[in-house]
Amino acid sequence: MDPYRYLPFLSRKVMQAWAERERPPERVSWTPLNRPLSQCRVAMISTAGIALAGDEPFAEQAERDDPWRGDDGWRTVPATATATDVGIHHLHIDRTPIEQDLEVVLPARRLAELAADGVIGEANRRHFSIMGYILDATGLVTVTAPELGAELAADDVDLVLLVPV
Amino acid sequence: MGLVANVVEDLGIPTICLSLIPPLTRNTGAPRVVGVAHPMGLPLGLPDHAAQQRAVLQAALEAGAAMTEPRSYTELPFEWPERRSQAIREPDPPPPIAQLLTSKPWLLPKLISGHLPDPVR
Repeated sequence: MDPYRYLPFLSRKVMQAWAERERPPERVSWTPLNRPLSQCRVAMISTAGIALAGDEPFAEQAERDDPWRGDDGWRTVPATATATDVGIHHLHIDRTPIEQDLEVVLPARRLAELAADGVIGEANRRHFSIMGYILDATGLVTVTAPELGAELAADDVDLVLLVPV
Repeated sequence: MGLVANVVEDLGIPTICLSLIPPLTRNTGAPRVVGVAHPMGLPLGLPDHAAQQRAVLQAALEAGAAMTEPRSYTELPFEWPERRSQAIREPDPPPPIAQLLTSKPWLLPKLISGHLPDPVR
């Protein structure tokens, strides 16, 4: 596949440069999956900046004020949420298709169908979202990711799917 | 995304990263990466295309679950059903950083290098 095929010109140049800049770390973490997929409780983390209506939105205005810094927090999204229950707080994507159907970025209904058909064991009762435009990953790595890990562990999640946007 | 995956794996939970830009995700050290050649903003497929969304989700989970060692990578065989010009959907207005770089293009190297300007006060 050409991984840059569907990117507009500037995004393509930046993503290519970032991919070349990143050096794979010497150590990569690894937890084996010790049970078949059909017995796993699965949760998802979307990077689409999804916040439940009524929860604090990801900080759009702060990014408009300082375009170098995106909101590096996280939010919970109940597995029952649909597009009308949430806001999409991500300024780098066309939100129209997501506002029509949340499944394009957080396929909670599709995951429940896979559970009903026995492909996975169970869909977790909630999923999570971060907002993917983070240039300085310090807070993401030191605060957000450990907190997400703790939430996932509290839910006895066996497998996590991270979904890009 | 790979950075988050590493932390979660360290806490004892296996992860699979679906990726639209596999070279970038793989270079961030993601343990299990499944690439799909879909446009930005539409990782699972088109809105209200349940069969497409489900096929991608199931394939990603099955491919990731079958991986047995760190830095594994699989590319899903799906082809996007639109022409490239249709598939690229840009936000309106453009992202703040794109607006800034349009007016101050000399800042582009900062975006690429990651040496960011000091926070605005």
